[in-house]
Amino acid sequence: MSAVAKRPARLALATRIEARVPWAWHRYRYAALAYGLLVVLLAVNVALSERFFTEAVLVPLIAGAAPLVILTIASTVPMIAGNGGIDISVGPLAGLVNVVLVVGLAGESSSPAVVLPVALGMGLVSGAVIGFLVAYVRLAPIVVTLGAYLIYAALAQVIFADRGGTAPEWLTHLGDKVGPVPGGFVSIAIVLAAWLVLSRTPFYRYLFAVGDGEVAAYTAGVPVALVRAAAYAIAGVFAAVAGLALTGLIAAADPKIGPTLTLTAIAGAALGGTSLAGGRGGVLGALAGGACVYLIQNALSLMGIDSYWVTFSFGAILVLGIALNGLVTGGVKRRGIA
Amino acid sequence: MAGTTHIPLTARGLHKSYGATRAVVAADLELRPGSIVGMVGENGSGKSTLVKLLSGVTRPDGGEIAVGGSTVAGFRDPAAAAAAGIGTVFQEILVAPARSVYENVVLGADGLVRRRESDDARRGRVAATLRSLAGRELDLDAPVETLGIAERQLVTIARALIREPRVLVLDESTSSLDVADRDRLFACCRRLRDEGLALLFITHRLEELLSLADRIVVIRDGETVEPPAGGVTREGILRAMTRAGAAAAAAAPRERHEARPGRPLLCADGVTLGSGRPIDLTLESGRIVGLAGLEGHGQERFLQVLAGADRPDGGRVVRIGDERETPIESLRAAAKHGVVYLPRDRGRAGILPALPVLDNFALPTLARSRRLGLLSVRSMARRLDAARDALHIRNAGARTPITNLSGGNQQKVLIARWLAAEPAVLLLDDPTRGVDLPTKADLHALLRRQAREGVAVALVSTELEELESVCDSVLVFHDHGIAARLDGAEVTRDAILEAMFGRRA
Repeated sequence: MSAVAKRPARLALATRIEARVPWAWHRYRYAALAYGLLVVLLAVNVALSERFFTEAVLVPLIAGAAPLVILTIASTVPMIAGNGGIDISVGPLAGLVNVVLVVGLAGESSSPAVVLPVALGMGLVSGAVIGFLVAYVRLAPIVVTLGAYLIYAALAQVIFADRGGTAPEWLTHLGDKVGPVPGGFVSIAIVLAAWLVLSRTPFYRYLFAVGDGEVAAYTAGVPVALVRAAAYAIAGVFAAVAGLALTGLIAAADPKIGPTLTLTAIAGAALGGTSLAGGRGGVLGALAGGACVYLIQNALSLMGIDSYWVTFSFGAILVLGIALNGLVTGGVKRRGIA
Repeated sequence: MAGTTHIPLTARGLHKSYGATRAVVAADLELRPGSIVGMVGENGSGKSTLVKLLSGVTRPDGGEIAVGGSTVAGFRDPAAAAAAGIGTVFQEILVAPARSVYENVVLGADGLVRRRESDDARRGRVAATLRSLAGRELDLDAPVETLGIAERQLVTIARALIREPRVLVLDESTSSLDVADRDRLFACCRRLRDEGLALLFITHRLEELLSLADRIVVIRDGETVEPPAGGVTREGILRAMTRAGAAAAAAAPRERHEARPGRPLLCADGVTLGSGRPIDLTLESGRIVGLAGLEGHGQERFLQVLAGADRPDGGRVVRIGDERETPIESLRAAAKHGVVYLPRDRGRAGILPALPVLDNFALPTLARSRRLGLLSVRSMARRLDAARDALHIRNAGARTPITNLSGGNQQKVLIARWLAAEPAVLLLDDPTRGVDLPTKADLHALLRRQAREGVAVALVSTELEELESVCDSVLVFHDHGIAARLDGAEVTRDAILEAMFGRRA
């Protein structure tokens, strides 16, 4: 019963200027930087590649971006719920789903009726267990999900054990085209559609309120722990969808890819304007943030720059991006005594 | 809500302790339909804990609450209390700042998946409720962080009203409102009363109580007491709150240094806090000044301003040294010139819970234990031994984790930490909060000894006995200004209390 603002918070310049602008800007400005950067990066990629606007370039590009973009969205959800919420296990979980589908489910013969429940079920169970440990047992999210990260990465290696296998044929469309639509769009659209449905429920509002004002939410009767646990469960299901997209993309099993995706996804989420302190941000920002990270990767490889510099640039852009986001969205909160 | 039967709330023998502190000892309360009960009590009398028990934020250790025809031994969580028809507006202004006004008002009113009512229908009700509270239209889509503090408070009030409770608890809900807002809230309370609601209205302001309440309950040391029949006057209520002289007689006699002139050491020069009147104060060597006031009337912030931890809205604070005067504009500057500050919240702002006693003691004065540029643990330990004897710190080995100590002994370690820096001015925010009686006596003796040795002391205290028995003079704050300056023999419980509740000097 203490953290009460006795005086109105000092409002940033941006807040004062926009007093006369519709609230839509206020609501979405967190993502402004990510979308600005996205436009710049698209231009750079167009300039770098010949015939950018052709199927041969665009379809693989979008399919390649899909797993990372979906994982960025997945890792955004627990962040919004606040209280140090983060899920770094999403990458290895996607990788584990990939290996289980290709190696475990007898490859080509597996039908959607088996594959989809298994994949989504893995995500749901993983997310629910992590959510329970974080929200009810009150373990630190970074530690719980680091544990899950290591476990999933190891399990993927054990199950893989150099056995090959092929992805179900129907799933490989996600890596190419579904009808006339690039497959990458389809898998991203599935996640966005799910999020759109969620955003029409009270849960969606509670998720942001819990991250933004935990005490206010609790005293108002919001089931805070349940909302937090659900955030991890959703992240798990989305990570499983990313695992499907990954399987469609590489049409094989690869236990090494998953773990590499986690940190880039977290970078994308932060770049997308979601605050690690919770309550601020959103999936629209994550969409752009994830796309940005992928386009940086793509542009640097088009330029033939060494992959070590790709990692370097992630670090630099991440720190810069978060600093700039802070400026756009109202600055660092003033720290006070007592 | 047609056909709703209004059932009163009855609480019997509620009690609740936090560790050794008995916050609520025996609370009995009966809220009848169509009636406003006003509740008043000193700081720390147990009001806020009682509110937490009624609203389901904490569970009582014992006792029962009968509401809506069933009797429970406390509520599992706030949702359960709300479901039983109890609406609560908390003292703190609890909002989700980035969310819209509308979302903040309907916060918690829905299930996780289902809405209880469509948004379209509800927006109208929310807008109407806010209109009746604010006297004008509020933009429902504006993020709450763009609102002023008064409007935020109205949002929290609307949150309770929108669920149409049968029992409404308002805890200090007028603290940030201006007169017009307050009058509208009172009109709203009277209308709800006439519609058959049971209201509990808790306030520090006697005028509000006398004008609004149908019945008055005083809470004192965690017990509810009704003022004597026919005693529903300012004086009657004040007497019920202070236990009429009994405690004053028990206070230890002491010597006062009324006229002894001290050397001025720290000076507040026309300091203003918010809308309050300018404050002048000189802290002199050898004197203990108490800063009193009801929660949130500026005394704590004034102490922080003296300490450089907060900047005043006007005026300045100057440290008067032997040769020159230095403005105090930061904690750093204050510490450099011998002004030390002990914040209120030991746990958050004072102790380092992960470290042992020795580190907690020696951290700011490590430079004094340097040998050849390196740290000498032996010298640190020697200094700790000396402090331990001087302050009667018990059960504190150098390696003992500080969290193993009792609250009082933790506080002594903190005070020892700052005394080791040999300060000229000592600023303490409620130093004996939650400390047992013998330790409290030790701390009081220590403060007097420091004063005798020439230190200037200022302390904020919520305990009237403490102010009366320790301080040479007391400043009583009201509305961020000084309502009374009491000196020497004028420092009495009754005089302080009287001034706290708004007698203008």
